[in-house]
Amino acid sequence: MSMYTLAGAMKHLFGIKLADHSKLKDKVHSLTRNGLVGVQGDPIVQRSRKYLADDQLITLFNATLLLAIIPDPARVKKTFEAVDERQQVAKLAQLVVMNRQSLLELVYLNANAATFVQQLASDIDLRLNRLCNPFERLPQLLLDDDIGLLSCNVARNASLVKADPMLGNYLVGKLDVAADYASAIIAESEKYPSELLDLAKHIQVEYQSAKEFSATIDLLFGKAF
Amino acid sequence: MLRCIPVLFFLMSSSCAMADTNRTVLIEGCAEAVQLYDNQREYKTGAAMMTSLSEALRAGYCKGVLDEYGRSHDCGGDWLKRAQRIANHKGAEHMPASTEDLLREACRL
Repeated sequence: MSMYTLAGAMKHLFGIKLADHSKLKDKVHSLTRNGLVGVQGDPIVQRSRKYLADDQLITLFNATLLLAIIPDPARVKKTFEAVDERQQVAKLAQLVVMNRQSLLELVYLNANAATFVQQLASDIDLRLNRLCNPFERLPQLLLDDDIGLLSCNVARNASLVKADPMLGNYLVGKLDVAADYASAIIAESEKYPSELLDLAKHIQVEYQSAKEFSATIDLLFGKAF
Repeated sequence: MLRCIPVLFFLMSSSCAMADTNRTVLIEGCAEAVQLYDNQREYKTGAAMMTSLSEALRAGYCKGVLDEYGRSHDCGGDWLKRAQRIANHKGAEHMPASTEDLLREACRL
């Protein structure tokens, strides 16, 4: 049976470097302290590192996904153990993961979202069956803050006021309007995740080249009549 | 000197080279030029999003050929009308026998 350190397990499961995400690291360590994820110390080393057995990987995986929705490790543990708590979390997950009211959420969530909610609402053993990961990237990495997606709902609505119309206008070809929203987002860059800023910059670049294209057409094609 | 001869020959026989130009490319290009012109008037910067790189290149090719032909022939009408006339052959069963005929017909406006 292979053994993983907590960081090694997270690298293996999600391909992330736990040390780079301090909040997530704290939460994941809490999962081991509260006993949800079983760990063993190395008996030879005095200040031993904690090691996870293979059979704890599924628990760690599912618990990390749940942390994205409810950031409280104690509550995540309860979700594994109490049926009524699990049903309640499934309802919250349905609310957060499925009620995708914005285009951006469609970008950040993948096709597994429905399966994730179904599995959570069913009675499959969360210690034995991996949930379908509904996230393209763990939301904890984007937020790197002490909030779960649930409490993020409120903040999200505020930040999407600018982000969603930007993407919406871009997709229907209103590049000039999209570029205005992009400028507003870049002006307040600290409020937005880096992916969104990249998108805003991309839209600005495309708008610039569209303006250039338009000027070239005017120059070459001129006035026909 | 020998290497220059083919180049000189090509320059001197530009009207022959024109006759060999693929008519379909010219017709396609002129259809795209007309479309691009309309889009530009209606959507301004939005036109860039509706036009692919190859469409823009073909449209520019049409404009270049029309300008060049107009320079050495007595052509009536503006370039857009001539482009429209050539574009009308798109998908048609019968079309002028050569690019030269196509351009000459468009010039008779």
